[in-house]
Amino acid sequence: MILIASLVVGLLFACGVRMVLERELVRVACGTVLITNSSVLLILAGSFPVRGEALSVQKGWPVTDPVLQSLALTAIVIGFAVSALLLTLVHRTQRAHGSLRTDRLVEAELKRVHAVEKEEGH
Amino acid sequence: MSILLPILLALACAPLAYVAGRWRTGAAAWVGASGALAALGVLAHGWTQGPARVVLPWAPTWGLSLEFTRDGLSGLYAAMALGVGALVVVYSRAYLPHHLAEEGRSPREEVRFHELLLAFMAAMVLLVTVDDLLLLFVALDLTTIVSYLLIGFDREDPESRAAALLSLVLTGATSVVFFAGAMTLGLQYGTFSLPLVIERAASNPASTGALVCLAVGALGKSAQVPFHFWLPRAMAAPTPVSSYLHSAAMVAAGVFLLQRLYPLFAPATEVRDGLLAIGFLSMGLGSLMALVADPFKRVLAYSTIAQYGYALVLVALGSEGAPLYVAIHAPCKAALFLTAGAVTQVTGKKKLSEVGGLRHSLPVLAGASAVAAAGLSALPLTAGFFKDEVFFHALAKEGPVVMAAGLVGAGLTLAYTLRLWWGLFGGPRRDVPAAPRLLVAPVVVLAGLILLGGLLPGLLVAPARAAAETMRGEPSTLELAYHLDARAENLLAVGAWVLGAALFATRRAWTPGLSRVLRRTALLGAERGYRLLLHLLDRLSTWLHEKEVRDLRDRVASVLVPTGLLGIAVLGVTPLRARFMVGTVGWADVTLVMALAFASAAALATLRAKGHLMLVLLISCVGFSLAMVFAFAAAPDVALTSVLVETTFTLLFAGLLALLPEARLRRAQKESQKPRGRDRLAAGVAGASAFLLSWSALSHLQAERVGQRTVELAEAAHSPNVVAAVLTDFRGLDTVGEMSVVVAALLGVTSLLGLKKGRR
Amino acid sequence: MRSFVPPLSRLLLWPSLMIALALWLKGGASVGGGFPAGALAGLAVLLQYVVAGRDQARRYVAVRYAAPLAGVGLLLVVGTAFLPVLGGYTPMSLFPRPDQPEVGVGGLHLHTALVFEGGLMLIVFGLVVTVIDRFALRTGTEEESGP
Repeated sequence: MILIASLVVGLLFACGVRMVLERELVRVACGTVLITNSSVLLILAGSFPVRGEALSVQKGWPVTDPVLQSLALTAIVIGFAVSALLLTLVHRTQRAHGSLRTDRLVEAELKRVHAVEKEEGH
Repeated sequence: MSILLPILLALACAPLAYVAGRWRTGAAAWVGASGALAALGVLAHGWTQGPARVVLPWAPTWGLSLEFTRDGLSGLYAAMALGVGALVVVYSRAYLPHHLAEEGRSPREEVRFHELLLAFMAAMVLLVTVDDLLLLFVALDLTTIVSYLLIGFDREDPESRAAALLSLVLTGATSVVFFAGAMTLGLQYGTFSLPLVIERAASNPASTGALVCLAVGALGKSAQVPFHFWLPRAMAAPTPVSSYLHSAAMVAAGVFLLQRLYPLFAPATEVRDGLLAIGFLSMGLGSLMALVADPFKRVLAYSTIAQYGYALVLVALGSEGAPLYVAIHAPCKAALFLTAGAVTQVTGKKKLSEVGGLRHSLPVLAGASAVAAAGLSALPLTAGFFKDEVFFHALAKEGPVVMAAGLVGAGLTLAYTLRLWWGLFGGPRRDVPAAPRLLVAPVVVLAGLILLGGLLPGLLVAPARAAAETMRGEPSTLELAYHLDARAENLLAVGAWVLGAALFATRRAWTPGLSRVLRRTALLGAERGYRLLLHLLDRLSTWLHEKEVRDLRDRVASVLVPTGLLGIAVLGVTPLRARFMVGTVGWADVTLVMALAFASAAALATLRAKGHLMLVLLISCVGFSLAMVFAFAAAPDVALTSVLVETTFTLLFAGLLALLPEARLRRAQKESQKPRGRDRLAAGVAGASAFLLSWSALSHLQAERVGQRTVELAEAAHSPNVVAAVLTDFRGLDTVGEMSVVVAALLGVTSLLGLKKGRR
Repeated sequence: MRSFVPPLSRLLLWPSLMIALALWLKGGASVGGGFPAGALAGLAVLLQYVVAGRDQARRYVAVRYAAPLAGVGLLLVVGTAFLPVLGGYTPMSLFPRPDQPEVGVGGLHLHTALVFEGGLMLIVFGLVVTVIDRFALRTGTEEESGP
């Protein structure tokens, strides 16, 4: 079970990294979502060996580690907030620079930096 | 409480001035000055009751407390800061309206000036009364920050802004070094409380590195070589600032620190020798520059460098006259600065070559500043005489070389002071309008004090002894009196006067040559080094930025791949017993494994996804499979939230796709179809590292879990749902932090996507 | 399809909000809490946006003032966390304290954790609705500017 869980964590992480390295902003956003998912899974995988029997909690029954659960919950909510921000960023960048491709964005920014430097030089 | 009262009063001055300034602009200065005088009175009253300490617990678990002391050293310096501060505030009441009118600014800004000046006074009082290394640093930085605002008060003037920045960078950077020294001491002795540190240092001397760090902080503040060049530049500030910060307060702070920490320096003779050399160097450099500088404020600034060089020599020699020296120098220098400001205001000129012959028009000012100048150059019948007496007394024990250096220094002092005073008031008569009384009065008060000290030296003995006792931790036998005999001190003083007078009389012969030599040998090498350093840092940051921008994508990889390799390497070298465990898969786990397999398959499929919509659906597929995993892992709260969040997110993502222009999406899609081997490798390394690290982590779960204990506690906390109890109660502060992240994201969204349509 | 989806979605709104409230109030006792409650309420509003459009969805007050609601939520969270400090308790002290008896109205236990969770709910709701609203505002108004 430990091996399987960590394999899946590694797989999700690798897929996430692969997409973050893509040249396109939507995929970069997707990649970060995958990485978030892998970390949530890692947190909760700590409770796999000792976990509760059922969904509802009753006295005396084994309980899935509540600390890990609340940590995972926190991670999910923060991940959601950050992803929402990321989506708006993608939209905004696309509007400002007129492209979804990272290499184009780099060119645009460098052009801007040089323009600013020229302005300061004069 | 009586220890804290003067501090609290000093702290209250700036807010009081603000309130008074709201009512009437002119009232701010008077209210502030009265506050300062009241604090001075309370301080004097408290001082008669002898030394005392007060410790207010602050963060007891970390062993931090707010410690304040009332002793000779703090009393002397606080009295200096408060007294000169009150006079300077009164003076600025007369100076500022004229200055602001000249700069074309609103007269209301005068209030802000008084507030800043009083805030600086409060920071200074705080600095001298705290008895804790950390608080010492905090107060030191407070003075730095307020001094930045004060020096840059004329914010329209680029020179003034540059000077303020220079002083901020220099004194700020050196105070960070001081902080490093303080931390080292704190770690070495296990406490930041100064008396404890000093007590423990008696048996276990402080490390040389820490002492050097502390000394660097002090040297930066006191404008000693090689950090001296900020002071002449800071003369761009309005004159009241110079007369306060650069005579009695800011520059005094550095030497004060050395005196406060003297017991730590006492056994470290090599550090003290270094300080001695720096003191003589500053003395020589400052005096020579003061001899040739033309703007009279600059003459005073170089003189300050030289005079604090004297004070540094005294500290380095461990002389009991060190505190007295600073205390006498302060009123003399403040009075001369105030004179310079008054002259500039009356004549509009700033250079010695442009003024002169003012003694007929400004007789009172001329007389009072003559007393101050006499004090600065240590002529008898002024208190200044005794500052050189203690200086020569300390030198006399050290042998002829040091004595000769001191003699030359004192001679130079007399020469440049004569040059300054004569340049302002001597020479052919020139008629100017009379100076406002309020501009002259503070100078007269200071001159009166200097004369009083010179005529009745007995008054100085008690505070000087108390301060010396605090500094050296042993009873002081300091004596101040005029002796009419041929002792070494007197001979040196007479020699210095003769030398000074001779230099002054022959000044036309050597001034051009000396100024040429000084300019050519680039004695300001330190300043050039500073500029070069700034330039290089600027270049470095530009280079880094370009690099970062150009390789946006590779930046991610360049972080991930080394981190991944490092993670793998760490696992390789740390010997862990039974490092990896495979674990068992029972029948109950089958559903879990299936859900995990589903998530993996979906994740792999995202890499192959052609269209964007498919991509988003596959991502949400991963999310839902994980929600299933959480449900099978009996984490109902997580599963529920996960499902809800995933649904919302999928819809939002679809909404984003609807927002993006179709053509652009398709073009980007086509572009990303070209795979790169490097990316795959990076992803592989990162994934492998994540896998190994999580495997190792999951194999080493503690058998004793916090969770079990939490379940019991949740019952007591009236919350049967343990997860909710953890979130809201046990780890509630984390949740507050998390919520602030969410709100920050919300603010980001609203500011990125404003309500106005079509805004770029 | 068109004929029955919009009325159905409107019909679904109030039950969803009721369930969200229930999730919030029962969070201390069983599955639920502030996060899922806020997410569910946000989802219910999202449905309105998708089916009925922005103008229809913004008829509800809570939708128009979603971002200020999040601010209120933050105040509630921070207040619950730090107001006890004024009474000499450590931050994040909840009332009734563990040694005090429970206070209840019917099946509902009154506890300051409820206020805390309410704050969480409002914040999450505010975030979800604000993002939807801003996206919806843009949809259809986007110009097809050059490449």
